[in-house]
Amino acid sequence: MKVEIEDVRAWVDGELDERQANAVANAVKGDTQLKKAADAVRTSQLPYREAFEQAPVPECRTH
Amino acid sequence: MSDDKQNLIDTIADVELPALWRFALQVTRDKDDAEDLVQRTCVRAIEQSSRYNDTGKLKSWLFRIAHNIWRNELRSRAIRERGNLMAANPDGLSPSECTHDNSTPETRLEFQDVVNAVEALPEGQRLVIQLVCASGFSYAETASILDIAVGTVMSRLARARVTIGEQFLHDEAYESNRKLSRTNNMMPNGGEQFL
Repeated sequence: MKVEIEDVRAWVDGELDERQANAVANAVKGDTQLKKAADAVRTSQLPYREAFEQAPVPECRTH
Repeated sequence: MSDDKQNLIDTIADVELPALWRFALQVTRDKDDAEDLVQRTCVRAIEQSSRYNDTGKLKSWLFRIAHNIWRNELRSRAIRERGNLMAANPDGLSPSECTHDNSTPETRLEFQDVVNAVEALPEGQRLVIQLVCASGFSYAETASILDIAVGTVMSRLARARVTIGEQFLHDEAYESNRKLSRTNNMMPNGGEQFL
């Protein structure tokens, strides 16, 4: 199985079954680029919903 | 007007309008365009209310309509402006303009960092992050709203997350270097004894 960053993202977010997760985990161990991607994806687990809900937005005249 | 149509209008006005407004701002990145898009989306939704499937999410149906309208608008502009798709943004969407909030300055800053990181993404990735991570749509719903394949959603999501993560990792490294440098500068010999 060729592991892509899509797989790494899904692995970090816990969306893979055990077999797939093991395959990605092994690939990440042996590949510096994939490890970097995994670190980045982990760091990108951020409070997006809260951030956008609290972000000030201009008033809409349509409201 | 039929009761169904009236109910739809009421629901849009009472429940979905703020979310639609935020999505329109995300898509257009221009306040005037966003207002126009919200209005046109509501009109189109009312016109096509008989097509709305009650079992589906009203929000994703509205977002799909909005995205379609905006895509067509961009096409029209591209024709008018001989391929120049990037409309000027004279007012600049300035999210810092107004509104209430009761968060602490620290939290606000962190949230603003997150918003800024998403805003800096290419459009396709930005909308996917907005829909999946900020609005909670499934991958399939996001694909339907943006009229792209689910695989494209996954691909854009992964690339966007890597970009955002790298940016925050870089910022963290920058911050710790800055703090270290500041500490060293406070020492009489610039902290050289520790080097």
